[in-house]
Amino acid sequence: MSKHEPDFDELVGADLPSEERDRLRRVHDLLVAAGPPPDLAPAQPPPIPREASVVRLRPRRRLALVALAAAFLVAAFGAGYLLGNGGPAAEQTIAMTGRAQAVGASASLQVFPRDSAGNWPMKLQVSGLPATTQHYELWLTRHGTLAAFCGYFSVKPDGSANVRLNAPYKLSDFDSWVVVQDGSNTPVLTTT
Amino acid sequence: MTVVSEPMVSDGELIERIADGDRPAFEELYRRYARPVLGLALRRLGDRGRAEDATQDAFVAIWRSARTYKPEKGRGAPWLYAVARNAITDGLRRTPEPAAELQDRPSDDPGPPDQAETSWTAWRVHRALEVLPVHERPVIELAYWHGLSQSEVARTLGIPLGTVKTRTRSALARLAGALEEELG
Repeated sequence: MSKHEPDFDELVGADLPSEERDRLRRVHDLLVAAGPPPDLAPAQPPPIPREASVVRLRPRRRLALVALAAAFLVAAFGAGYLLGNGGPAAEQTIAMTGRAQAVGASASLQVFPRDSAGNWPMKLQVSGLPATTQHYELWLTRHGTLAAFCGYFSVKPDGSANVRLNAPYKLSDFDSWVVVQDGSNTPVLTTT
Repeated sequence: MTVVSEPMVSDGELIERIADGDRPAFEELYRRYARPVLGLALRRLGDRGRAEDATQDAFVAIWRSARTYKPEKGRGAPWLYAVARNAITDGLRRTPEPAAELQDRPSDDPGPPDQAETSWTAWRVHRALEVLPVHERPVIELAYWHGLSQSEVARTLGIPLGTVKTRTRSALARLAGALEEELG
């Protein structure tokens, strides 16, 4: 696969209305950023789902899961954060603090009343997160596990970020929010 | 047997059918999401074999947990992303990455800046590519990921240059529709 970036002007020509041109330009940028999808082996069939079987966790893994769940639940309980009627009727600000991997980090999550499309607009301000090439993700949690993805963001070299996100879910079905690093289930920020 | 190949069947509807044990719906969802899931697994695991195993695990997880999908809570794509991501991460914990071997020469693999692509964006873009008609997808793939000019695409596919340009515009517009949320 080549890393050659195609010439957008050559692809779409010069006779498009500016609004449509801008729209296609954004698609072009997303295609370049996403990179090629992987090739699938031609004969690879869909996997045949096996019947669910009960797998007993090894004690060590069970303890690790219990510890992770406890960390989530303590954070949620400590926050005293309970949402009614699907979500907040008025703007609400939730504080988040850094866990072991991001001691000193903090965040402020503003949740606004539900918009006309049924989403909960949110504004997340973060400081003190480790600067990394990986992205961070905001998740809603339920029973100590990541349950609903709310969006991603990257931090500036000083570890700060200021982003607008949306939660298209009934918030009262969830316990809390956490921020994790892309690819990890361990929270770096939890509600306090 | 339910016919689910119509493009108007949403991801969410497919997941609801899968919850009722509809195998053709599962195969259609696999067709739409096999590449995005494999791409996500490759970025997480960095190894083709482990990524393919993780993709299988992810689809088994999708099959098993389809009943937990509630359409009123959101569309199918974010739900699928969450289930697949968790399955891949669980697989990573079960089979830790093997120790890297020292190399005699610098690796040609992309460095961290090149790997900074966003999983969610790539997920949605790769999913959107699946909506392209079979005659439009090659013009995008050849231009973007094989580095061919429009004239070279025309020669490769054996079609007039004007047709390549028309298909390219049409494909980009179709992708814009599929990625509407991403584009804001």
